[in-house]
Amino acid sequence: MTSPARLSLKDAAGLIANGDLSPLELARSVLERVDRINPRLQAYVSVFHDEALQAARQATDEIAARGPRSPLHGIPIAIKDIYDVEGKPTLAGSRVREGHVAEADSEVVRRLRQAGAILVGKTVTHEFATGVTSPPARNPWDLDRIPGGSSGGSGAALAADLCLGATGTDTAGSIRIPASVNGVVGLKPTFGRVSKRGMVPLAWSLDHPGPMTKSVTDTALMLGALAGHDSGDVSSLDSPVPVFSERISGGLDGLRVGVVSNWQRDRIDASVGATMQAAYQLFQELGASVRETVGPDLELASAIHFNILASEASTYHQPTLRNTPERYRGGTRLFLESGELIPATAYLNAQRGREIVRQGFREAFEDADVLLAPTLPTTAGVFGTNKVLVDGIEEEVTQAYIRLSAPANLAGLPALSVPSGFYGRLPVGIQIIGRPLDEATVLRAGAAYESSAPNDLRRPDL
Amino acid sequence: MNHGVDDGHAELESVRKAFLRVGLDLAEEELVKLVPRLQAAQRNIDLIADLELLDVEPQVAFDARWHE
Repeated sequence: MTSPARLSLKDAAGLIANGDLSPLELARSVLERVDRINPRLQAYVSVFHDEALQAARQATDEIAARGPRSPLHGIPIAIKDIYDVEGKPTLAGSRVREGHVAEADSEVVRRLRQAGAILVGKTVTHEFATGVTSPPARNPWDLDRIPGGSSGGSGAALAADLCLGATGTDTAGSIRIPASVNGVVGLKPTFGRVSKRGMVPLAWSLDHPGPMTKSVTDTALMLGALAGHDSGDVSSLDSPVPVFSERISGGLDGLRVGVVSNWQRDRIDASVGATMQAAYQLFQELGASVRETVGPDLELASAIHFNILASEASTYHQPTLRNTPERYRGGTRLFLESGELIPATAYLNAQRGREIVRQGFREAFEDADVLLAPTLPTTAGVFGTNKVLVDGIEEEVTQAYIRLSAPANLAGLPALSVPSGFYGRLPVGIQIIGRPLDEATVLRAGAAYESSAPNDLRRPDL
Repeated sequence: MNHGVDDGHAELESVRKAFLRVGLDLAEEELVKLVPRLQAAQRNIDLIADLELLDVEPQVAFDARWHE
């Protein structure tokens, strides 16, 4: 019998609802794997053993008495250590935060608890979410490789079945990047769809909280618990929230799919290129109308994104850069210091330039319902280096990894990364981008692709 | 006379003073690491400055409503 920890969220929820699996059994299965595997994988910063088991016992009793209150009731979920959990430290991967204890749950955690989820623990994040390698976490498909970032711990934990869902944050791709290199699903929702209250910010106008899961259906279920207006977050959208899980079936007949051709031509490694072509063909076979389109210019988007990101991040860190600079990792400190010299005019011009990126997407969507592109130009890099090979050329890993993901952060569009196969033993992901607030179409496209793509049943050998 | 060394020193001094103006007193080895990053940042600023932005407002709107 499959270990309960290896189940999808949907399948586990079904077994729990039928009484064939208890939350306590499920929690024990997950925690056993965490205890055995996490010392090598280092996906978790901290594990809430006692609290998780207590919550699982309580969920078992509640469900036995009244049935599950939501599909997440009794489901073990990992929390990126950038979100507050009441009574626990939020270290954000940094010595700067030593001694911190959260006074209240973040809104994301509050909603997960309300749905009955079991919090397994805090996952590793790249320091203050500023990077894409997430040390000391490793990639479960190859422990000598990185799990991506900044939500690398969440991505690794999911792929290794150390949880059935995880939270991430995405400012330049930090949900989609680890989703792609770990072979799991990650969604950056529309900006403002999920509340940012109680999470450590990186860049206020670019941060997107979102779910990471083992399947697109699981993403729809988790997004249903997380999405919704929060008056405590000034950027929270007061828009109706559909029942996403009811909107993901229906196939792709008639769906207009735009393949972003100028992004395809921008230095894509052979490891990614072949799986992309197969994916585009599959969309066509599934009934979608696939054509090439043009997306925003990547070089311009990178320049605009950097100016906004660095300005906002440096502003947030101004006090600690002066009081405790030695507590930052070297690379983080250099990034934040460089942001201090961006003039206000440059920041505001970048916010104006952002409208040009948004207009570029609007034009692409004139003839498309969703856009397709690779999530990343290459696969997982080697741990301990900050370089990756893209089409034979060595590139700095952050710039390479965020190149295809940051534009959707600038425009605030929903963007999903779905596994699209392997190159050797390393996962590859495809990115599906939608119109504002149209997560339903993005998820429908992702679900159809996922259910029809060649079924590779391999799991990391841990 | 080694103009390259003088130019490099002058640039480093300029960067040091720029950081002092914003309240950061950084060691020379930190400044050396920052110079290429600042050069890249300037290239970004120059690229954006070439855009046609005359009628484009930044989306930094202020919401005047009072929220509970």
